[in-house]
Amino acid sequence: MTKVCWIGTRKGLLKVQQSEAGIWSLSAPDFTGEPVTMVLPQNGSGSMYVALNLGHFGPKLHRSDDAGISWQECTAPGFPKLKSASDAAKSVEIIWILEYGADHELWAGTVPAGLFRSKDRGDSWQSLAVNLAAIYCVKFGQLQPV
Amino acid sequence: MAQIAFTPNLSRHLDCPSLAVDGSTVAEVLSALCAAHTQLRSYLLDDQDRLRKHVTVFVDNVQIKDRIGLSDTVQESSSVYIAQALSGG
Repeated sequence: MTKVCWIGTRKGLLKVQQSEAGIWSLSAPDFTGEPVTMVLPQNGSGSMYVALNLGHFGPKLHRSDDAGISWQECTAPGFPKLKSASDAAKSVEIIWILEYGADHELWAGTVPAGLFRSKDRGDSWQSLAVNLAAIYCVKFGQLQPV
Repeated sequence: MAQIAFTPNLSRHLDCPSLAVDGSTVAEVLSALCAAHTQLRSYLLDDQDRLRKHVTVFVDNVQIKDRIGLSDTVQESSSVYIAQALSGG
């Protein structure tokens, strides 16, 4: 199995891959020039995800079904639209964390603080909590009996 | 119909040909525009349908004032230019 390390940087997505001879090499970057705020590698679903912060044009989410060879933009999580917008109403600025849940659900934590879940690989999102403190991490596990 | 043009920077991410759309306010023009190009919405508007903080719109070379309600008037013969707003020091 080939080892690979994905690195999200302020200027793009880097891929460092280990050859059979054990030598690590850097591939040409993807999303050149764009801030990559989160990378979620493949799990059993075969998809992987990259979150971008395009600055002028907002947060974006991209999905790859071929291990990062090609990418397609899907839907970034967003706060529910309020009936009357004001300066104070929330809008996602950064996708800070992505994580897989059960049955290949996709979870996202954002800035400003928001927790979102997608059941269709990032094509649509459900906002689960909006009045949270900042979310730094979303992880799933199992509690072992003591 | 108002004639719409985009900053070339947006074309790095999306195909944004110049086009004409109906509408008597900026909100109506952007709504018609985003109905024709659905992916464009998230690039121009935030979750509350306000103009994104670093995006701006000029109607007949005048920068719009209402970035929340997008109520600035657009004439039938108007030119609408959508640009990225530079900020910082």
